Amino acid sequence: MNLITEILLILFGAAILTPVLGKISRALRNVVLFAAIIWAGVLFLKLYGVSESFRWSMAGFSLVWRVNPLAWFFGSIPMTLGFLILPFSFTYMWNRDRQDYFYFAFMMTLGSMMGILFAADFLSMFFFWEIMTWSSFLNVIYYRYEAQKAGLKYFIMSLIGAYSMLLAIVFLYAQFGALDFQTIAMHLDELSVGSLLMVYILFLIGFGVKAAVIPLHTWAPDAYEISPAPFTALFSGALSKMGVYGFVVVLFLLSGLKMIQGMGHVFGTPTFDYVVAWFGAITAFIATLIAVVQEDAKKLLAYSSVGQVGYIILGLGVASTLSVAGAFYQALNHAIFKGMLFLVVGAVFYRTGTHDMRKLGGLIKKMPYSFVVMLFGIITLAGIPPLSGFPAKWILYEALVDKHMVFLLIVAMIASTGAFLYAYRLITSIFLGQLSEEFKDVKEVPWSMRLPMLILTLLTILFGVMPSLALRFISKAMEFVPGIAPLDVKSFWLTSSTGHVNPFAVSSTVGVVLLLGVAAFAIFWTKSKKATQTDIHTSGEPVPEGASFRYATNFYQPFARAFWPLLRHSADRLYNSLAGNLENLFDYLRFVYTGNGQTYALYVILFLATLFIFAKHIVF
Amino acid sequence: MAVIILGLILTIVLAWTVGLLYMGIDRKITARVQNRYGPPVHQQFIDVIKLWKKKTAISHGTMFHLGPTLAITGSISTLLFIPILIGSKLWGGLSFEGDLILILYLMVFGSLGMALAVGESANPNGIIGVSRGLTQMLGFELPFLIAVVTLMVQYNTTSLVELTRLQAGGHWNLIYSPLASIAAFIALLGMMGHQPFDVPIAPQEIASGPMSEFGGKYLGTVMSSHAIFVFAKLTLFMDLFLGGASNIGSLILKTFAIFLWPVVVGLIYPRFRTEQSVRFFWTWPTAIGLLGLILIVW
Repeated sequence: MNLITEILLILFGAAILTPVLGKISRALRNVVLFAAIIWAGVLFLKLYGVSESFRWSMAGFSLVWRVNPLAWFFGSIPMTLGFLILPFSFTYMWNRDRQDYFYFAFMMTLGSMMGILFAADFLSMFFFWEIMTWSSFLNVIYYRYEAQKAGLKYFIMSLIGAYSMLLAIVFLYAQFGALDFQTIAMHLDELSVGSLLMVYILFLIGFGVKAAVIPLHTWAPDAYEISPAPFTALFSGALSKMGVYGFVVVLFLLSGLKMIQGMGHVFGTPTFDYVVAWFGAITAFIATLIAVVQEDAKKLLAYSSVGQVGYIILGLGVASTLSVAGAFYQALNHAIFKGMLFLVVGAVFYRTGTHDMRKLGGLIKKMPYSFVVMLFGIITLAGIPPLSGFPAKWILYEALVDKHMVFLLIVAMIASTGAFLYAYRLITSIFLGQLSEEFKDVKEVPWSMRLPMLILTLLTILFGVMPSLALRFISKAMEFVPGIAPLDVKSFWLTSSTGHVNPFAVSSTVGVVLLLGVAAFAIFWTKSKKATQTDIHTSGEPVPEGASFRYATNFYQPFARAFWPLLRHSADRLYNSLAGNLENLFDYLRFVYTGNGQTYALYVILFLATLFIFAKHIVF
Repeated sequence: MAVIILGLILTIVLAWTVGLLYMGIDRKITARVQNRYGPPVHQQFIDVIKLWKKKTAISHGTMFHLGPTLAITGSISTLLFIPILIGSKLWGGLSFEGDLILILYLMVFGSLGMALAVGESANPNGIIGVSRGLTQMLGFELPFLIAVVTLMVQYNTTSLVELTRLQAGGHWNLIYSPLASIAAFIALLGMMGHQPFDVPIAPQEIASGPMSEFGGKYLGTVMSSHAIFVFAKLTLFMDLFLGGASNIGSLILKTFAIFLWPVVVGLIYPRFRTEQSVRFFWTWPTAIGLLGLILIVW
């Protein structure tokens, strides 16, 4: 059997077996699930560098499935995250209800993501896309009643996306009678610029919903907040990348020359792509500002996720070799650090039962490993060298300098400064500051949860010190992105036409200076005296017994004041008021239903008359 | 190799000495303006050495212990990737290994270390100070980034070495990119944290904020880190706008001239509130910088 089908069968098979095995024993089910993901992972590794496709037909449609380094690169994200998150969730979910339900949806989501990447025609892609939507929906509404609103919002937004995608697909099928990428890309120039634009926009709405591009992001904060933490890590780390992959398909695999000629260029980039880049930049900026004023750790991370995916869209939109490399690097990087951060917040929730930042604090002394993971996570998030966040940002910025897109560059850079604000808020409110009495007996999470987080931490260090390791995969994947010149990868250097940097030299410098500093502290000075958390300088004010000196509520009050004119707008409220107005409008339609049989008979006659006139005089 | 390593050590020593000296001069100037006698110019050296000689120090935990070390690591790393003297192998540092975007991000490293240490100290005043400082940082970064981006696209390079080389022969950006310079030098006021932009420290409101829990060896290290960082920032501005330096004399002269700017402004104005500070940075200097940028791109 073909490896592609085999991987899909293993993942979906494991999902379907879950409820049966779960009835027998929880441990057996977990072992089988983990074995399945390892088996699928080994098969997936065999596909590295392979580029092949096969065609089969079902119900009169000819379907094409393929694998190539591009699909492999994007596939490595859900595979790696799935492999690490699964053992984490074994412990996390062990004493919770509806475990079979959780694992079933989890494995279905994982399998459908691989399916999307293996699909080379829109029909199978749409099919797997819908499986992904409803299986992830199942986990969004895991907490049933509390999750009703978030689930409904996610479902409606997904439906809007799915319908616009379906419309584009049906349109393309009506035009060409085929649905595989290759045929469509070949004949795309036969369409007029107007219909091309419509197809692109419809597809981008479809993919934009999953990538949570502003203004299609409103579902993300609620859905990320309420879904169980291990699934949120997969949701933000891997599932949002499917939206990104969709952007790659639309912007590059389907790019028609005619479109580019018809709409012209800005700064040497097709106008349409340039507009997409602005959507990415604005997403990065606005979502960052909103993230700064959040009070809930998962909601903060959700907005951060929206913002960081904005950078990926920005990179894809700019459409130069460097910018696409930067976007792919950021995709990988975002998967790693959002995996880390959501898992840490999950670990904290596992021990304390809350992810409200106003209630937590001082957990560093109780959960040191989790603290270290979050520390590395926020350093990567803020793009500070020497971790993997820096190469991603650097490549992206150099691409923008190279293209002279100064305003995009400034918006992207200031958003990354804003990321520093919420990153600090996140780690301080959870791990630093004063520990409240309530959590004084909290323990570190077990190793089954610690190890996955630590492995992700190692990855971010590795890709930060030696970006060429990741860039090798990326340059291979980029060979399959049409219209993009190949990327030149050097072992130690990151280079562009305008500058260069040696991350290895940077990390060794930082490492050596830090080691010397720590050693000097240990050698030249005697040990410091430990002080308790209440033993602090209070400018002479006596601290009453048991008083808490926690600064966690409304952390960035001056920021909120300064940016109030921007922050008071909300896409969510706009949609709600729109929905309210529509509801009022439809209320008037109620008067159509009079309850009188004669009125209804009149309607039938009027309808038939209209039909008759339409058929007789307008159509023919 | 030996030359480079010797150069690195000399650079660090120079930065520490000059930085502390400037801070001492700052105190003296402020005192004279306020009609006081003021401490001697070398007071900062006495303070740091005294602090380092203290036998006891109070620690609030591991992150608190590591924080000052991380801060000085960040300051030194930033310094080493900035070219000190043009064309000198001994004083070139590691600037050939990196560029301007790297420096912009490395500059944050030390502040993060410090901020985390303050977080673990659990002093609410300290954390308030950090939250104010970060908010203000978002303020002054905007005009500064606009200025830096203007220079990058104007000369089509992100390499700091290249930027100093292009200004050779008196072709200073201060004169030839005046709007970018104005934006950047206003941003410098915020970066240096003198009045009216001393909101993160604000001794009368939050008891020196972030610094309040540090003592002994920790405070000595934090002060040294601050001195090195001040020198690194001054050198960066000199390389960006004043054409770099070709010998030690002109290095001292130019950095001191830049240093005087925030000191003098600070003597005139009272402190802003944090949101006023952010709004200030996002209006005037940003508008001037954007105007300069538009003129360049046009």
